[in-house]
Amino acid sequence: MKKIYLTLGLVAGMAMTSCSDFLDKTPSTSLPVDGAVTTVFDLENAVNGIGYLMSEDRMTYSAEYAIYADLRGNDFAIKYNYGQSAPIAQYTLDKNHELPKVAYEMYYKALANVNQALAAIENGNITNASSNEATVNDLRGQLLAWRGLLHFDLARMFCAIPTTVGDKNAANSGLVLSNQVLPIDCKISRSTLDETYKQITDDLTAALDYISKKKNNGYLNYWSALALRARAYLYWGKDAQALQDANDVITGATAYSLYNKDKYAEVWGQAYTSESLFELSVTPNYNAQRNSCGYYCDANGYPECGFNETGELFTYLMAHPEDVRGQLIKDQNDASYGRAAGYYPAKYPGREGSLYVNNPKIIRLSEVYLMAAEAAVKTGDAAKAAGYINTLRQNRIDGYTDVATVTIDDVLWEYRVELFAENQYTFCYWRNKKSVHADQASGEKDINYDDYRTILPIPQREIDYNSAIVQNPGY
Amino acid sequence: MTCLFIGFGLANAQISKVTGTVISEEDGLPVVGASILVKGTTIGTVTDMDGKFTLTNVPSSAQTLMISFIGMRTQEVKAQQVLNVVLKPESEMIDEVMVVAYGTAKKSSFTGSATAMKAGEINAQKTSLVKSLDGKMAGVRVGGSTGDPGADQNILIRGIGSINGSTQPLYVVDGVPIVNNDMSSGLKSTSILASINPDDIESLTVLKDAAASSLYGSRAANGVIIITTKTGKEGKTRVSYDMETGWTNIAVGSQWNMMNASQMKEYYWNALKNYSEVYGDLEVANGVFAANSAEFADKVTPDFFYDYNGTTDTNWKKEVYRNGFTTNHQVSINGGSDKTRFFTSFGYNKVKGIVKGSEFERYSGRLNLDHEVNKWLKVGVKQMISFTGTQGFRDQNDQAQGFGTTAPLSIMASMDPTAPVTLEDGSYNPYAGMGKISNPNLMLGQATGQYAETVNSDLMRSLTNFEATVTLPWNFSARTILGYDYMNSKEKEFWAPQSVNGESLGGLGAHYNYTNKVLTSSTTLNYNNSFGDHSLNALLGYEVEDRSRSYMYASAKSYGTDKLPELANGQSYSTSSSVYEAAIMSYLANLNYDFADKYYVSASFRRDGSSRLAADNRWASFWSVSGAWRISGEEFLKDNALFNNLKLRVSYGTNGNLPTDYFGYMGQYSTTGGYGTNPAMYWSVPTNNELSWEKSKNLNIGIDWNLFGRINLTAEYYNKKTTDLLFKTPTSYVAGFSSRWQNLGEMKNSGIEFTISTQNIMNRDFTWSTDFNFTNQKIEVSKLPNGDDVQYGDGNMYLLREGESMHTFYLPEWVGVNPETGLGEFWVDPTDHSKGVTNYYSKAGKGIVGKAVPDWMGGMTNRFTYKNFDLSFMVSFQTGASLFDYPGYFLTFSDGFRMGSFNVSQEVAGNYWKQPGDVVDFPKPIYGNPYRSDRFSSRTIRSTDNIRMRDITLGYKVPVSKKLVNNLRVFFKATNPFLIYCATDNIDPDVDINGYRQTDTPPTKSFVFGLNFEL
Repeated sequence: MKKIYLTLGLVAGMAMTSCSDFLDKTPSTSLPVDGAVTTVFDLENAVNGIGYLMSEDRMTYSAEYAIYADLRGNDFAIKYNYGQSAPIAQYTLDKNHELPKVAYEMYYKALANVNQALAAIENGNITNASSNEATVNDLRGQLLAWRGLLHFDLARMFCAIPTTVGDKNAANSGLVLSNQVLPIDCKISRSTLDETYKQITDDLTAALDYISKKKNNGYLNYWSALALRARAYLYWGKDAQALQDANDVITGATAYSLYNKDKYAEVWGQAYTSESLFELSVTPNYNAQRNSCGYYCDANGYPECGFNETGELFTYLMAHPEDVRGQLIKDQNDASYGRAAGYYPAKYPGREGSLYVNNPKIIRLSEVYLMAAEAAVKTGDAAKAAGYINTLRQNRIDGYTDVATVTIDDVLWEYRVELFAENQYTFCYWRNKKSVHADQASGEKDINYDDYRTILPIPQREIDYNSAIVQNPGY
Repeated sequence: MTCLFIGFGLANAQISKVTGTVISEEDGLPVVGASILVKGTTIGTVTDMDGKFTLTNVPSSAQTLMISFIGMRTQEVKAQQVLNVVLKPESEMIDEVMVVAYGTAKKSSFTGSATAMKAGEINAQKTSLVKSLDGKMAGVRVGGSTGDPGADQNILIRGIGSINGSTQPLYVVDGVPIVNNDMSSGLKSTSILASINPDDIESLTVLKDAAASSLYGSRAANGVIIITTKTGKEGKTRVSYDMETGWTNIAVGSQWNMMNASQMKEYYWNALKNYSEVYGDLEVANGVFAANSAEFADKVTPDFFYDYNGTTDTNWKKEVYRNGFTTNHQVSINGGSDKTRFFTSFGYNKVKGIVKGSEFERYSGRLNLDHEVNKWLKVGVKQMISFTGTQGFRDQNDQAQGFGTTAPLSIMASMDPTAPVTLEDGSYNPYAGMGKISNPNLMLGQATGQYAETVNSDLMRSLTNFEATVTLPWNFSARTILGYDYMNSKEKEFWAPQSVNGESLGGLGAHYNYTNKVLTSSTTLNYNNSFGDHSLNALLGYEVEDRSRSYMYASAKSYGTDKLPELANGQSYSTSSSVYEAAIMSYLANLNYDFADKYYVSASFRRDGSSRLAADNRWASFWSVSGAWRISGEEFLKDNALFNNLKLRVSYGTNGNLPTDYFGYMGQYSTTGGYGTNPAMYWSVPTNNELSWEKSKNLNIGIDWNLFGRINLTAEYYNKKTTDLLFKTPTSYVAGFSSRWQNLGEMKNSGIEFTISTQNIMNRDFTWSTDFNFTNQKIEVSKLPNGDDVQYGDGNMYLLREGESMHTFYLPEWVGVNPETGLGEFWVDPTDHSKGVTNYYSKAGKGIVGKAVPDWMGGMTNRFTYKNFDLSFMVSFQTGASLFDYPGYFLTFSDGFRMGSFNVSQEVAGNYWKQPGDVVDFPKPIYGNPYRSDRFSSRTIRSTDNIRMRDITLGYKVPVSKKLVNNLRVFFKATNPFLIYCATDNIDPDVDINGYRQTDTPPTKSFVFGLNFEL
């Protein structure tokens, strides 16, 4: 008799003592989203999160996107086809391809993180914000500048360049804008090109009010944000504003200087060199591995971005030893390289013994000079343009003699020589309504600025999950 | 089933002396030492050397004799002058008493749907107990796995109940739910279940419907598999030894045949000529131009080959695949007294895979001890410990997407047939492959060395069960089970500094260490009583489970040597650790009542709380009700041999399925990132506090019918409706995520299952029995959010659409090769052919082109014994399912796109377009094919309809004296020996449940010789 009470008691006892927090478990490698960003330190880490998201995946700044515009022209060639970046060069990216998809995913993911972190500031979640006002302001500025930059690069990939279209207000010609924390199931239509570029320049403008002017390695600052705004204006066709911004950077960013001829060959293996307004910090732990730009530009990697030895750029560089930029041809013709043997650009030699580890320069001073020159030519001041070009060339070419005037073609050529393998070439040409030649392209090899293939298709899945999205023409 | 005892003589005579013989049904041999007892008295005797007995002084009042023997089922026989008794082995009693949720049940009174399997069948496949179920049970489908030893395998019980949640059953070992997932880095498919030695298993019960399984509540939606290990038996100590050994090979040997040298040269030449035409490229070298496309191809083709002009023709398949080898040894001892019984065993299993370098090894030991402390307390301890080791290489752990550069198949297909295996100096030719591939002999099976890339794993598992049963007054009893499941899995990967994958890091060594601890405690109070025709059984219980899984990772790169893989030999690279925890708390109750062994009703209830859901949403209740009517117990069917047993069963109830994510509901910022040398965190999971269980409602109607005591027929209909599916809803990337967890949509699984067992011939010298089962199933997506189609998978190849089957393939429809242009054609719109065809894949519309789940499946086993010989063979079949030929996408349907990376399947040779008028299956190959006709389409969807010989076993009982040896049997067994029919040539139709034909090692066949020996 006693036994039954004992047992019943035992069963009941176990049931009663079972407190409900037995079922409360928490993750060990993440924080609940509501309490995650509450201090300045958290906010710094959340800003770092944007850089993290933009340095590991395909099509990010340290991967294919570092050489994207170069792959699309004739200055570089696939030496051996691993099918990795090759579809970019072959113009075979379709709406189902992985690369447009991952690009769309990662840039918007980074944008969502920007908005979430900005919301933490705006909602007053940062408990020690008042005692760290300068830091919080700088971080806020960085976030706004990131938002401008991320939208800008999405627009370069997925929208026509505004200078090339007749109607910048055409419906669905722009991006879906991510300018606030969006509900997870949002189904938003595309904006117009004008709205998109207004968002970009507005964000960069707002950033300038908050962001620090101090050099901040691996992070955006006032000067990089300003230079990025100059670039956005140039694409938008607002040349006077572009010239103003570019000139302000050249005259105001005294912490930065053009590489000189002696140093030119060696700066590429280093981080945070004198011209670098903004470069992404890539380390042995955080990089794009086999899809790193360095891996494509080397015979030991996926050798899909070697010099086209019959191309104009290679021919020029070989014929002009006085131009130090020719020193960035890496000779990997040894028989041991097999079918990958050839010449490669030496701009991503890798640090710490790894081809994966290169800091991609998202914007540097030479480009600002070229933007100033381009904007000057377009605003009718070819002499002023020549000034920028001369300064740049004096630091590149032995025995250079100044020119009095330059044409738009001169400026574009200079982009090609100065910024090869830095994601500029074809964008510059198309921006100015020029066509480029692409021998490796499937189909028509003259890629005119209005060719539908100059922009990527919106990934089909986006249309599948949001019927409000309109596909780019031609896909 | 049929226990045949044949009586002679006159039943009504006055008996004083009884003589007779006792033989064993199993082997037809006399049983020595069986005890014969007059029921209700102490009068008795034992059988002699020939199994004969003589019992004198039998009182005339004696009605019944009891004949018993250890390991045999005790029989009661009407007393007669001459008796010949056949005793059945005790293990067959599983047919009568089944292990079910939280206890046992007599099969005759069981109202749910469950199928049990006996020891002998479970251990047919030594490395995988799941494989043993293949084709044996109605409604149970076993997915294909890689042919590498120790690989994991999926199993489906009554279809697919979830889209994104788990579809796998719950495994319960000796009353304790065990962990069967989440213990691997995903580098390589590794079965956690392989840590359990099938030789130690006494019975395995598959619970299929709600009545059988709803006592397991929130984890039972996909069915439950209850495993009971062997226990000791009272009496003489028995020692047994079982071994088998044999060889294995690719089951369907005609697959993976690549073009020979001349075929490949010709194909490449054509592809380059076509490239030159399509791209207008005649430049053979910098500034050097060919006159025309043919000349271009002449000049360029040799660049793709090692020795274009030579006569070498290497068959690289032979260099990658080999004969595997398998061996298994098991020693077990069992016995005991009336108070204490024990079972202990030691097993060793080793398999050498069919790819060089793949190996599996398991050592396992078990001790099961049961002891009666006193009249009211019984205790039991079960302890298992096992060590499982595998060696091999990376594979597609998820049985889907991916084709690793250094996967064996990839290596094989990357090899150049014009290259010799060895160089003149006898060393292996390191330049024999395309791209970065050197030579399979230098890459596979090399733990160290220049090109080594290996993955090894070591799994240690300890399963401890402690059980106590207290007998209480008033027919109450209480039982408590404490289970502790400890697992440690170590995985090590090594890439030598110059290997394909290791090159860019200067070598990589990575160690993954997972430790899993689950503590389960359940206490149940039972009530069991019979009064008159009423019989009542009730249970009340409480259970908690606390799980923690910790993980540690460390890696090193820049190795100084390729000979020493340990991390100390490289430079420190990356480290990581994490802990995941989950808990479940449950209350349960169960009631069974029957009246006069004719009418049965049951009800179950369970309430579960889980840590995997938000606090406000974590509790849910599950229940079932069921009833059965044994019609043959009614007067009007009594003594009608046609209806020896006829029972109708009906059940209805609910089950659940928990999210697989530990914190899927919780919006999270991941703190694992880094930027530069600083920490970084990012928004990693969107919030959904509403996330809840997946719920299924099950209806089951079944009939059990025994005819003439020789034919058993079970027919069942089930209808399982799953609502609130755990759905990883894809979302637009714009908000920052690709998908989120929701409870959305409904699925319906329905089907009919037939199981027929017949004793065709039962003679003393010759027996023939047949087990046949077949299932017709339908797995239908019945409701989706807003009724919208959902596409998923690579290239959105799968479609979820209301009214369509799960795993429906949704791809462009291939029309064929245009004989004039040589280009492949797809319908622009598969639903409207008037829109015509296109050569461009990207312009082709999509349509439903097949599904991965079968309509009909089943199996038939025939068993024969003739004197000392036994023969059995099992045939399985399935129809209505297709596979997605993923390797074919690279190797067969590549249309020139994979040139420079891969050779091409043999079947393409002579069957591709070369000139106008050619009517062929494959379009003209084009290097850098701009049409991309190679991409996933109905071309890559292929029927898996097949009839397959699963196994053939031929055994012989060596006649030895029972005095010395209880049993000695030798046997030969062939597993997967051949396909009787297959709708598609050159493929193995055994693929995983998602229909993906993977790029890993294909399924194997094996031929083994074995021995059973018992003292």
